[in-house]
Amino acid sequence: MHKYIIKRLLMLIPVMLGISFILYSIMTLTPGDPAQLILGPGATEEAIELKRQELGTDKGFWEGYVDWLTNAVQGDFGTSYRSKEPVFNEVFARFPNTLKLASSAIILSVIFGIGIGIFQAVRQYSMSDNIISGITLVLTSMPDFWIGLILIIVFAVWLKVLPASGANHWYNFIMPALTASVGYTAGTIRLTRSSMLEVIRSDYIRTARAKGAAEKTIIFKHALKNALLPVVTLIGINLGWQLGGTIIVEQIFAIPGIGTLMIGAVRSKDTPLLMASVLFVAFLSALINLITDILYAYIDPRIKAEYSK
Amino acid sequence: MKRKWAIGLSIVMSSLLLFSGCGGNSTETSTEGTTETTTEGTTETTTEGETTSEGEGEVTNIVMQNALEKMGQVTVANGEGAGRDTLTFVSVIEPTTLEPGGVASSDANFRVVATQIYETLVRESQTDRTVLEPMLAESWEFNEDGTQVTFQIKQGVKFHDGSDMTVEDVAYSLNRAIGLATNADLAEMMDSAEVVDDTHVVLKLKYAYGPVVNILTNPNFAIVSQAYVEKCEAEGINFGRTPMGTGAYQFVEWVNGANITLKAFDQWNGGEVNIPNLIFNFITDTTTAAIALESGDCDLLYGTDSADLPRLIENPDVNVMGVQSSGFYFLTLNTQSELLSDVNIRKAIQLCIDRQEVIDGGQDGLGWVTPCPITPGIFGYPEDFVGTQTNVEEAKALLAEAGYPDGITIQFITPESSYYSRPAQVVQEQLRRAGINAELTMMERGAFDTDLSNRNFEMSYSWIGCSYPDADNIVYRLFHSQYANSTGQTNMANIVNEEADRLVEEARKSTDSAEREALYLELCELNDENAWYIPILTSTNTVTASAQVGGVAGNSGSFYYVSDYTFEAE
Repeated sequence: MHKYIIKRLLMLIPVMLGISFILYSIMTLTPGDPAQLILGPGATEEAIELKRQELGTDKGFWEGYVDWLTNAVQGDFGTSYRSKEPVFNEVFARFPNTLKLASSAIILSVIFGIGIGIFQAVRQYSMSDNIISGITLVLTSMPDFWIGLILIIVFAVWLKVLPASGANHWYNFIMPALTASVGYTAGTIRLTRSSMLEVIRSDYIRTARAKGAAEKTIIFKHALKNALLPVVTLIGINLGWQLGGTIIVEQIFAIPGIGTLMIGAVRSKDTPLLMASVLFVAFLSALINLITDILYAYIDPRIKAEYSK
Repeated sequence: MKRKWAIGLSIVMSSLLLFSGCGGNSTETSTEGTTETTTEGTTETTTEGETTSEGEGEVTNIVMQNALEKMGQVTVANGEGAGRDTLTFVSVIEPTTLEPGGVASSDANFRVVATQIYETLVRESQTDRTVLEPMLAESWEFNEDGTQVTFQIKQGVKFHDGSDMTVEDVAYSLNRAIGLATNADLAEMMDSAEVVDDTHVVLKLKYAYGPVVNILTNPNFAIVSQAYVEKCEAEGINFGRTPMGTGAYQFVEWVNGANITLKAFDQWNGGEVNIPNLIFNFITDTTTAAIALESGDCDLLYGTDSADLPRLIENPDVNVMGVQSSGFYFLTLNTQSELLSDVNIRKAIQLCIDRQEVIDGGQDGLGWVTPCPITPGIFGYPEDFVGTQTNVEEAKALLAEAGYPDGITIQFITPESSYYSRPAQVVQEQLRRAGINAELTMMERGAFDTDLSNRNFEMSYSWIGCSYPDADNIVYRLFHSQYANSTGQTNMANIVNEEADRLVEEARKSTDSAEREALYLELCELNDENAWYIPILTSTNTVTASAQVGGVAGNSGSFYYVSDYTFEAE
């Protein structure tokens, strides 16, 4: 098991290198000069050249990348072109908001997703199953900016019970978390239902029923553990996505998170800031994937046996 | 039973499709709005709402026309929020730094916050850009040949750290500003500043330049503390994140990406301010920002999308103050390109343009027809100038005369933001009427700037701002041949014309207002004859305030001095 974890962690190194190289290429090879964007249309050619030297964008492609990499390996990811702040100051200032939003959205989707999914599977083809299936289909199809705006209109403009924007208090996150979780909840419900149904039909459940185990025990002790495997994968993937910043939700509710930071960095061609924020998110996603894989082992002993080989 | 379900479901699905269709436009709206403000640095309020059909388009236009008229009625809000102590000001873009000179001089996102913390020697009047009011300078005087300005500096002014502002600080600030790359365009005529005596500072110019004092209203020329700036440099403190000046409000806290908190400076040289606390909130989504104002979460909003304007105007709790912006949108015809070096072809393009139609179709009616490169409120604006009128038949005749009876194809570039791309598409259609096929490329902003600066285009649709209210600021850089065939966004049409050079040079040097006005009128006519630039429209600069705030005035320079505002009714 430890060996496996170490192997996976080591594999992160080439992944991070690859991501940084691709990002650097995109940022430097696409048209647009950060020095010119900062100085504005009125700047003279000399002024722009000076600014390029200051930013270090006057170097060649390879030299620039190697310089960045050398510094990054030593822990210096540079300063933002625009704010002149060390890039991780900005990333860490924004990250707590994204983390709050992502985790609350995921918690909501896990609670409702798994709960409702099991409920449906147990009552397959009943009226309630059909109605819920219809609703989940609708929810999966709804774009989150639309849900967000509707929530704002109802709760902020009409009822005036929740603030429309900001990230200062816990109640600022109610509407954003709901908005961000809707799609994930619907997905989790559907996956839980179908994987639960599959398990319920399997032989060992029939055996359990035959030996007279209580229905509750069958569902929660025998069936659920096996049915949850794909659901855990989905939750892991969802969390990775969410940490990358739910850009639209952040934008609509004016939450200063990672997503809006990255968008801003792309627009202003702020290469160091973009690279730091994307690498940070990529690293987290990779970690979450690893944790998901480790969780498998606890849920399914067969996989644990695989790991120890 | 199952069939019923299927039918029910399909109804739900199709209604969803409809909803998502509507929603799609609104997201586009918000992201476009942001792009615009980031790159241009000013919040040009133009219309983004897509109209779905011809009929609806007309309705929107009527709404917009009414909106324009109504906006004009409220110029100064009247406060009704007695007893409140904190004003929340929402801006759609967070400034990147609060260091004077740390950003381009045209960056209005910086300006909105910086004007509260810093003070300049003079400021623009809130109602008339061309009128200057004393700020840190009590008076100023030009020498005989107009190459030096001596400022009498206000005494007893304190910085936020409690230290006294000295004439040395003033001279240091000016020299610092002159040397900064971000001010290269504005400070071009300035040589250096020197201390004369304990109360006077002289600004020496490279050549006589009448509007020089107007330039000093820009917060990039704000007065900073020499000791503090040097301390920041020595200790590696990021000045842009810990700003310190002499303004009515002093810096308290900057929460990255969310807000900037300021509090009234108790030793401010202007006396006591009415509102003790000031918070800037940054809400990138323009619709959310407008809702924050409507729901009472904020008091002041800079950067309103005009899709939200009609609703805000109808709201009795909100005052919308919009004034005509001083920058304008225009076509540039690159005279060094093969086809457009022919004046007949340029004239043909000009004859196809119907400005009102561009405003109606590309800006939902919210805009002003702009026939010449000098806008109202700017010195040199030729009020009665009309310019060439639309005439497609004549355009066709000119094309035939130039040897292209079957029409031509030209390359046309514009930034992808809908502030540009929608009007550009209308222009494209108008040109088609005379057989001119303009191949429109909508470009990412950075790429567009690069192509424009390198003159790598035939025709472009772009925007130019006016940093201070004098025609010279715009026309000199657009028309003078010294900038032709160089790089940068100056003389992009590559005009090399002795007459144009003479006019802009004489108008720059002259101190006689009447003579200058005559020269600028001549220049507008010359441009119209040659069709180098085809100015199209100006849009609005809007600030929206809760009815609880008094004293707010819309202005085209984006100077909003919160120290003038009050919660008390007048």
